Amino acid sequence: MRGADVAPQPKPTDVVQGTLHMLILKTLALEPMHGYGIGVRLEQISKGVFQVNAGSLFPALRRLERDGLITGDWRVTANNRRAKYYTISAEGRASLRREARDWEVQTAAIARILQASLGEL
Amino acid sequence: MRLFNRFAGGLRGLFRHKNVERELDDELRDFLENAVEQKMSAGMSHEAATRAARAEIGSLAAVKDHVRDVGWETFVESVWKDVRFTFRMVGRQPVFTLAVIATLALGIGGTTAIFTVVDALFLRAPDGISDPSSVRKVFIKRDAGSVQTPDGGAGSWVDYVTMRDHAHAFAGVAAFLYPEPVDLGRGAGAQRILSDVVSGEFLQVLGVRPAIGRFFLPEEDGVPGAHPVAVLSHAAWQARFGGTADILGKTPLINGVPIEIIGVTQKGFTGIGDEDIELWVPSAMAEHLHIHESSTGIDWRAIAPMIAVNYVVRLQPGVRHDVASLRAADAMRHAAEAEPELDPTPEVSTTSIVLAAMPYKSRAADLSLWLTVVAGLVLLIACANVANLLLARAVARRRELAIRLSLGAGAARLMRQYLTESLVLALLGGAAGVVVATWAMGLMRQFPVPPSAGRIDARLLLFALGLSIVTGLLFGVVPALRSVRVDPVHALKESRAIGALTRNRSRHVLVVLQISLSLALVVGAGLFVRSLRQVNSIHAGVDLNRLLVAKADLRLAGYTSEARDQLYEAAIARLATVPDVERAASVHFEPFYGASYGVGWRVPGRQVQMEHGATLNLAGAGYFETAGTRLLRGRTIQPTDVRGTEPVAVVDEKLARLMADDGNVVGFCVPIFKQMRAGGCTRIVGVVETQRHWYLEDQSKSYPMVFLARAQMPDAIDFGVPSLLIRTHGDPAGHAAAVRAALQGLRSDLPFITVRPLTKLVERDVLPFRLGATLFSMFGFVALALAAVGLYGVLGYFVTERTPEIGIRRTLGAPLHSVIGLVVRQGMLPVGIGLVFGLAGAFAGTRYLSSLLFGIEPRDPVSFAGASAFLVGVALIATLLPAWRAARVDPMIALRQE
Repeated sequence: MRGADVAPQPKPTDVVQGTLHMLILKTLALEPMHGYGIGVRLEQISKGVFQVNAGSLFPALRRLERDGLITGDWRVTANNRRAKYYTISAEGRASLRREARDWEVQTAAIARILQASLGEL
Repeated sequence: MRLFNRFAGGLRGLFRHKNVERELDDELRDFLENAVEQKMSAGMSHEAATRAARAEIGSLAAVKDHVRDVGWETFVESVWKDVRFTFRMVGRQPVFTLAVIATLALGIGGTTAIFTVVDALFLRAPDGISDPSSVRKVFIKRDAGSVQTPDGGAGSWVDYVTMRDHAHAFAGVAAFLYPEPVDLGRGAGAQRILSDVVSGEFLQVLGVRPAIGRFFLPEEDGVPGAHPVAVLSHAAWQARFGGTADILGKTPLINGVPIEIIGVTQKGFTGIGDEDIELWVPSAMAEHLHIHESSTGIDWRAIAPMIAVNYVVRLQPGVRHDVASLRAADAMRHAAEAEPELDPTPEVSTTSIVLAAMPYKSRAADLSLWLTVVAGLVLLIACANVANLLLARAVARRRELAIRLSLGAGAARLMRQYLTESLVLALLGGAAGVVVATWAMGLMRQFPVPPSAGRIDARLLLFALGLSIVTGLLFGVVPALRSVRVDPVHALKESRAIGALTRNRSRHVLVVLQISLSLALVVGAGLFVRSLRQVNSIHAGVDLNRLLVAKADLRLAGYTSEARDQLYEAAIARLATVPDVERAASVHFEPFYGASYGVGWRVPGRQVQMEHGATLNLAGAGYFETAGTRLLRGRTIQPTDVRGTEPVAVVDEKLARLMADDGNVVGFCVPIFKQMRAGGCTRIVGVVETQRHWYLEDQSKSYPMVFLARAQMPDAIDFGVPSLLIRTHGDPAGHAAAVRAALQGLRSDLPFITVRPLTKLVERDVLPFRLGATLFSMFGFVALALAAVGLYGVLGYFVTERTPEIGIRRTLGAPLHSVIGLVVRQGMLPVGIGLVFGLAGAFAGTRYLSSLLFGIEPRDPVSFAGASAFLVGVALIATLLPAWRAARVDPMIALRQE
């Protein structure tokens, strides 16, 4: 009921409401990663448009993990530190496909609406 | 699957709490280190990078909180934590906790106890009835004809037969009479039990099941006297017959007649009225058992207006009760054509089966609703008190709160913790309240409350629980809201310095509320106490407080009137030997007998108009001396007034004044009864003061009365069985058992002799006043005590808070009285405002009480002034204690506190 998408103060650079889960899944679909890495990767790919703070990221991870879409396990990192790496599960991939498709349909529709001119009606 | 994962994850969170927390810590530390490293690789110093990373993440505790909030287990866990925390607080502040619990227990307990009465009267169907919603009571209203029931009351047996045979909207129709006490057994071991005469299908229509045996067959309610059978209640079976199964087929004596017990009702069923019925008798047996007799020799059931009959019906499935009533009225109208003397268009109405459902208003039911309001007010006062205590404590806990807020605790989270505390306290108070309720219900059982009232069952516990939760929210919300409005920075900086005084306006508002509510209640208590006083001081024309009445239905034992008179003489002689019995006399209609016998009255040479004639009574020698009725003129009835001497009569003042303007009628000779036709007259030898004999509180209902000498009356007229009036030294109730033993011991074949104080007969009239006075006073005092404690609490806090200021004032030379005045002013201001509101509220509200009061106006100035004075007195005490404490403040110690 209360969680990542409602609790923190919404900032202009925050991810679009409800899409954080999808973006995390997509990031993890490329390769397993730890929490900090996910945040950095999102920022890099979006060219700095999206900034994900810890207060949003970790609750989202906890929720995805609880839902069985990702699994977390502790590994030793390159610089010999212990870190929790998240891997996307089969269920998570299915969920990502579904959400991505929905997203494309929706954004396409929104784009059409925004580009509409009188002549097309 | 997803649900299962969530559930399993939650369980892991709950039970492997430490592991999960450590993992989260590790993960966040890793996050932080990564961030720091990255910033350093961008060229920041380690220190700057750490600071920047920390600022970016924000409060780690808050992040963790958000993560934890993802799962359901956190909710459970935090509630549990709150509860544990509350119990720690509770344990650490035993005085505070006890004060809260005791306050709530009084409020919740009182309300719960009253609730059981309201529940029994208005909400709950009598026990043992199946599908009670389809069972209705029926009332027949007749505005014309020989029998009128303009209030919509009972009808006749003929009406029952009509409804049963013609009103097809009902799945079943049953009739029952008003309960009658009967004798069970005979002689010294005889018992008196309450019976009800019913139509054969009564128990089946109600859907009562037999515990053992069976109920009446149709033919058992047919030919009068043919089937001597009866059904016993479960309670009577257990208490009087040991609860053994061989009761079936036994034939105990009922009013001297052997009756076969054919069944026992299921446990809990005691009829549908407010009295516990122990025996049900089919209507065909009523005459046989001497319960209802007709002197005409015709079956009483065949005569339309003979005996008042009540009805209960079960509706056909799917038929609305108003439709059913209309159909029944049609049927009745149809049948009324055969009875020309009855109202041709009777109205039929039905009500639900609950006790209070009556076509007319009852004082007891009215009173119980009032008491609910009163109990609710007391609970409200209790809530205000607890809210006050919580507010005081909230101020003391400002620092704790400020720390929690600045550490990142959310306002919602703190609110929840506060409410949890309130609820835990309320539930503890509710539990203690149930104990108080049990005690209060024991007290209430002194009054004839319905049998199902005052029982501790799931319903009551559920009510208490619900009430506790509502209470907890009620008193918890304001302090909770106020506490989270605390500005942490301000609160942390704040010391107890002068000028940092917290504003406690809401606490003062609560005190005003308490004072005004409790004043209204004390005014109500005053009104009832004064009504009761008035009722008790009524001069009824008899000495109510020293009289016992002994009665037995001697006809049951087959006494002739001669043998009966001998028995009375023997009884009066025997009673003279019982210690503390002053004297005894016989009389046919003792005061408040509940029935009267009117005779025509003609005074020679004077036209006397009397609507109801004169009321005839037969008194034995010494009756007026025994009753304590004062003789105004002439003489009383003497032992010498026997058969063969001149017939004599004593009239009461009311009758005397009707006969002669000066009331001096001694020596008049008036034809009475047979003398009206046969000639002759009865000599009036004395005038006595008027006795009240219908209602204690209503003089106008007592008709003028003439007393004839019992020993002179011809046998031909049967007035039933005379009673013995017995005058005792001191409280009569204490002597009842000895008197009964002496009388019952006269002969072995006597039926059960009922001996009770005369006050029992007026109890019905006095009861509402007594009940009102007792309960209003009780609640009023509790309310006032709570308000006083509330006031004391606020002022005590005020003094504590101002101790340094008072110290400075004293050092600077302020006189003692100015310090005391400071506190008293602070205390009496809300009292004054509360007084104004309370008086206004009482002024507006008490007028609805007027039907429940006696002999005083609802705006009785004595009650209003007395209550105000009393309240101000109590408030002054509650104010002076803290003021005294303030006066003793040692300036040096006070200043050193800073």
